[in-house]
Amino acid sequence: MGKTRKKIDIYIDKELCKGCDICIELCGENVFMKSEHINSRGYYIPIPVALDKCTGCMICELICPELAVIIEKSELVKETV
Amino acid sequence: MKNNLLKYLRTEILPTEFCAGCGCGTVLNIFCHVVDEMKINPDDIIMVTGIGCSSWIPSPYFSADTLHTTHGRAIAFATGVKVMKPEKHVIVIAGDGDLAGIGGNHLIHAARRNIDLTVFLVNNYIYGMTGGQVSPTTPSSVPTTTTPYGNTESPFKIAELVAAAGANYAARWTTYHIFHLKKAMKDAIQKKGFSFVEICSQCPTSYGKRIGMREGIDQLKDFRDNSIDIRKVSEYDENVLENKFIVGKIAERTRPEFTESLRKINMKFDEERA
Repeated sequence: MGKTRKKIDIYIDKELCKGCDICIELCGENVFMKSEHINSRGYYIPIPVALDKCTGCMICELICPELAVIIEKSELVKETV
Repeated sequence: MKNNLLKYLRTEILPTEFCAGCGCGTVLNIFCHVVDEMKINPDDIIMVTGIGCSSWIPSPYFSADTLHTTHGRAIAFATGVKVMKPEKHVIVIAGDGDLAGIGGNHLIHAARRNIDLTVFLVNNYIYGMTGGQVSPTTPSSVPTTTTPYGNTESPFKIAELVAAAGANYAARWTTYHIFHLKKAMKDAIQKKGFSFVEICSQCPTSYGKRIGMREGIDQLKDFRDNSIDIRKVSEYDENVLENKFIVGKIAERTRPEFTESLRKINMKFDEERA
């Protein structure tokens, strides 16, 4: 039996993001990484690469200057560890 | 998936015109969270603002009734709005050049009068939009466009000034302290009387490059490493505190509010006439 925790999804609005890297730098669990994807305005956007490490602390969603990060917490799921 | 908070914004002009990493966007983001969590109907909000980068937060981005006024006169206009429409939330978001510099007198007299306004001063320490001229909050010895050999003046401690002028609520937070800032913004909106939150914000384009912090994140880390809680200020020396960000609630009191006192007088005369 594993721990139960909330399932967390992170969405990044690719067209709002300006690639300022604040979410990458301030995330305590290093969830984000700069991607190779360039949006229509020429910014390299971040992607969540370690979703399982995300604690849902909301720092990235609150501090994003472009309202581009959305954290969605859904129902409790059991970890299969 | 779309952000639920975008319903509070005029989405047709997004993404914002702010520079990448600018703190004004963070203030806009947190303000949307505050309005959403407090369940305030945007129709009950009247935003008033002046000129400057941070004045773009209410106008054009936040979708409420907005007054975009002349430079420095945001509080003067807001006073008029509040007296005529006391049931509305009148919220001023503007910068340090606007509220502390050009409109400094309006700010302290509104605090003295204790009119029920909520003022969020986004302090980026410089006149950012016009090219980086010295502002009344620029720290000493920082080179700017108008002080190329370093600022020879001392900055205003603007939150303390407003608290001393008699505001019912005064606090200072930075764009790094997002959760505290959100709480302070909620408190300021709920508080009757003049409530003021100074938000120290990063300006990578006009201010950051002059102090060797070219990215927004560099200044955020500076806020993180050099902030001191106001309750621990007595443990430090005066000259140590000079270059620190003293954050926290500076004043909270319950002085009588201006529009209420005004209405009481009006009612008294109405009764006498009847």
